[in-house]
Parts: sequence; structure tokens; C-alpha cells
Amino acid sequence: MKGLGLAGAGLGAAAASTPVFRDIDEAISAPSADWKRPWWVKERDYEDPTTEIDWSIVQRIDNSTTYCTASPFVAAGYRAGYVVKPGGDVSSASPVVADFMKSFKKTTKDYVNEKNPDWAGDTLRDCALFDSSVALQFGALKQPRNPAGGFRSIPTPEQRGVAKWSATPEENMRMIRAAGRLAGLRDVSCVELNSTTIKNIFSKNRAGKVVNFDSVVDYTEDDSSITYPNSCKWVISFNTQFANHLMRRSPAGPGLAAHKMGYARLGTGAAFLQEFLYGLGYMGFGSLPTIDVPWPILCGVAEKGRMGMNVVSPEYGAQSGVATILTDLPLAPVKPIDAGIVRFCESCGICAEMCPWDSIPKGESSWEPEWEINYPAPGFKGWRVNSNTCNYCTGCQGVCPFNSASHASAHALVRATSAVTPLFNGFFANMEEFMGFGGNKDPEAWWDMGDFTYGIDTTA
Amino acid sequence: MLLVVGLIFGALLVGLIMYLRSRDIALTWYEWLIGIAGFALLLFTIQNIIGCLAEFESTAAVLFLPITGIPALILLIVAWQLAWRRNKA
Repeated sequence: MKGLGLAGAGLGAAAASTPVFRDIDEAISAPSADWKRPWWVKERDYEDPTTEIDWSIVQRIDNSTTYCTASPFVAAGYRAGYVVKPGGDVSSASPVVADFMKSFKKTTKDYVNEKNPDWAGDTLRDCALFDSSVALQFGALKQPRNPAGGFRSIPTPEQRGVAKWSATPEENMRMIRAAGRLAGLRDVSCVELNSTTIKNIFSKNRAGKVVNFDSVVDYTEDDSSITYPNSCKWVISFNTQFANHLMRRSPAGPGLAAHKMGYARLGTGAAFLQEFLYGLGYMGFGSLPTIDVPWPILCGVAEKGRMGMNVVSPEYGAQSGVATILTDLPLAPVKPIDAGIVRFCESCGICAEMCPWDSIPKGESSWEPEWEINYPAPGFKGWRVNSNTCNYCTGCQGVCPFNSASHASAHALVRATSAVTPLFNGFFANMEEFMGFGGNKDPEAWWDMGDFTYGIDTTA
Repeated sequence: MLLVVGLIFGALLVGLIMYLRSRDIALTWYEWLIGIAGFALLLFTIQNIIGCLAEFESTAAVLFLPITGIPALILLIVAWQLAWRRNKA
């Protein structure tokens, strides 16, 4: 009976301490709408991320002539290196893909077999998993590509007979963060668009249209240009978490599915935020003509790691995707962070060692690219992937030590220590490999791994 | 989980103190230090083994045994032996 009484008191205490929101205002102002970071994640000044940037060198890119991501080989050989039939038969690959594959020292299967010698290659279910995820992100299952300003399908404040939403920039930032998380996004942050950060926006988009900002009421587009309103001064940068255990199977087919599914959810979340902004009486423009990578490192979502075309988050490692929305909703910009990630990358290099295509630089960070690539990305000190040979296998994302889950306390100890001092980084990187953490896990084993919605082990 | 671990740790500590008092054994500061370090390392080992298994990292879980588990045992044995030999003398 005493036990029941204690249990009752415990339940009562728990109920008294559980947050209860009666309306969205309470939800926005609650501490849970804050962005809680580990104690060892420090703030830096605006426009001063851990990746050194010489803004005087950075120029807006003409994306019609400069490939800022992977080369055209990506389009032709997206799954270059993958078996395209169950059982390991590569003969069904197109000639372009086959030639591309022959140019490399080892195939994806060779790499996976280094640690998983019994793996016979992508099975039918692996291929179906990957192709379904691609269909969701790009293909038949994808919602129609939303217009630049979103579908704008919901009522505006004017249509509801109320005033446009108004709040402080800080409150708006918390609100957008709360809304974004409802849509499956994780870290939602903001960069102020000014004369410096606008350099991340292309001067021309892929179609060759000049990208302008002018005193227009709404987005406009004609044969030669696209124009955004000058009132849009805030870039919302956000990410979504990938299926963590699945991504460690990259570059085998199932691992890629984690990447595709994550980006599919990112697109849905972005479309949701655009509608939400519209419903508040503001504009939100997605699919910005920009490189996505600089924005999250400018507003604390992540740091720029060694691997080229993505970022590394203190919470999710390299297992996340990022996107942006331009808006005229006043938001409080967020400062960049220092979690010791870039310093760790200097000593680590695991992603570069694993890359089946030797596309990631193995040396120290540099202001210059290591190889001749279409877009040398001037103006920052870091690492530049060889875009001629990288084919988006996402294997690098699967092996990053910062992907580590949080069940074992050793991970927290390593992260906190590496954030404070780089002294042990080399030792930690060696232990990561010695202990067998990281990627290149058995692709078959994932199918029996557990019951995680979206494939995300949230307990980790 | 933490509550259970804390209760067990507290019970072990109380039991140790009661045992030492019953045998009129006093530990030196360095014997306490080595013993606590060994016990902390043992807890660290156990937690990481369980944590690694929860992360589906079975190789890492097994490797924690020799890497941190053996040093933990060594420290505990050293603390015990120092106290035992000193009190025996």
C-alpha cells in the first residue's frame, strides 16, 4: 500500500512537472522551443564559422557554367559502382556507367566486401528500397515540384479577416523552429541576407537566368531573369536527420536509401514551412539558386567537415541533409558554432580513407583545391571534393565518427574532449576505427535491426 | 536506470564502510583514490558495453572488456592488495 502511495505521489509529481501547452503561444515561449545544444558547443561571431572564409574572394557563382556539386557523370552514372541487378551482376549497367566504373580501382562491392566478405551485392529488396526512395525524392511519388513561392494553397490572414502575423524576431525564430519540427525537420536556424552572405546566392541559376533582388512585391520570372523581393532578408536553414543505422550501410544500395528518404522528408518539410509562412501573411521561397552548404555553417546548424558536399552536425554527424528557404518574416539570426568538428577533421580523415573513388582530400585543409575541378570554390580554407569522380555514394557520410549514437558514454566523452582540445583527436580517430565503430556495416543486417519510424533510432 | 545504478552503488559503498569498520580497517587516501578510480572505470566499462550493444556495435562492446575492463580490475585489485597487506603487517 505504501508502494501505491509512493507511486501515486510519483505520478502526481511527474504530472505537475510535465509541460502543458494550452495554445501555440505557450508552446513557442516554452523552453522546449529553444534549441538545446550540448554544453561543449560554443558560439562564434556572425559570419565567422570555424571554416575560415575570406569574404573578399568569395563571389556569386554563375551556376549555368559552373557545376558546384558533382559532375555530369552523376546524372549518367548515379549508381555507378552499384550492381544494378540482384546477385551482383553489373553487366546490365549502361555503357556510360560501365566505363565510369572501370576507371576506378575498386567498385562499391569491393569496398563493402572489405569488412563484409559474405555480402553478395544488392539483393532485389535492396534495389527496390533504393529505387523507391529515389521515386519519393525525385520521381513518380514526389509531389509536383512546388513553385518558388510554394503552393500558397491555404488562407491568408486577409482572407481570414485578421491582421498579418506580428511578433519579435526572436519569437518568430522559435515559432518557425517549432513548426519545422512538427514537419519532421530537426535544427531550424537563420542567416541574415546581407551584402556579404548574398555571395552564396548564384548570380545566374542553372538555366542561365540572372538572379536579382529588387523592390518587387513578389517573386517574378521571365526569359532572362528571376527576381526576389528586397524585403526577403532572412534565409532559414534547416536539416533533417537520416536513418542513422541504415546510412552506415553506404555505399551499398540500402545505405543510399537513407539519404534519399531523408531528402524526400526535407522537401516535404520545406513545402510545409512555405505554406505556414504564407498562412501568416509572409513569403517563403524554396529551391533557392544557391549552394546549400554555406548556410548551415553560418547559423550553427553544423560545421563544414572534410567531406565535400555536406556538413557535419554535432548532434547527427554527417547523417543529415540541409535546405534553405528565403523569407520576409523577420527572424533573429543565429551565430555559427564551434564544436571542434573542423579541428577533428584535420586529424581524422576516415572519410577520405574510405572513399572508394579517392575523391576526398587526405591532407590538411587548404585555401586551394587539391585537383582540377569545375568549381574550385575559392575563398575558404577547407577540403574540396573531386567533383569529377564523386558520384554521391554517401559512403563518407556513413563513416563519420560524429555519427556516433549516444548510448555509450564514451562518445559523449570523445565529443566533449575534442570540442575543448584537439590534443587527443588523432587517438580518438584511431580508436574509432580500432573499435569497429563507423560505417561499412553489413547491409543485410539492417533488415533485422528494429522498429524505428523513418528508420531513425531516436534513442540514439 | 540511473536510479537503480545509484542505489546499487550506494549500497555497495555502505556495505564496504560497514565491513571496514567491523574489521577495524582504515584505508589511506591513496587506497581510496585507487579504489574509486577502479570502480569508476568499471562502471564506465559496463555502461559502454551495454551502450554499444544498444547501438548494435557488438565488436566495440567486446573490445571494451580488455581496453577499460582489465585496467579497472587491476586498479581495484591494487587498492585491495595495498589495504590487505598493510593491515596484515
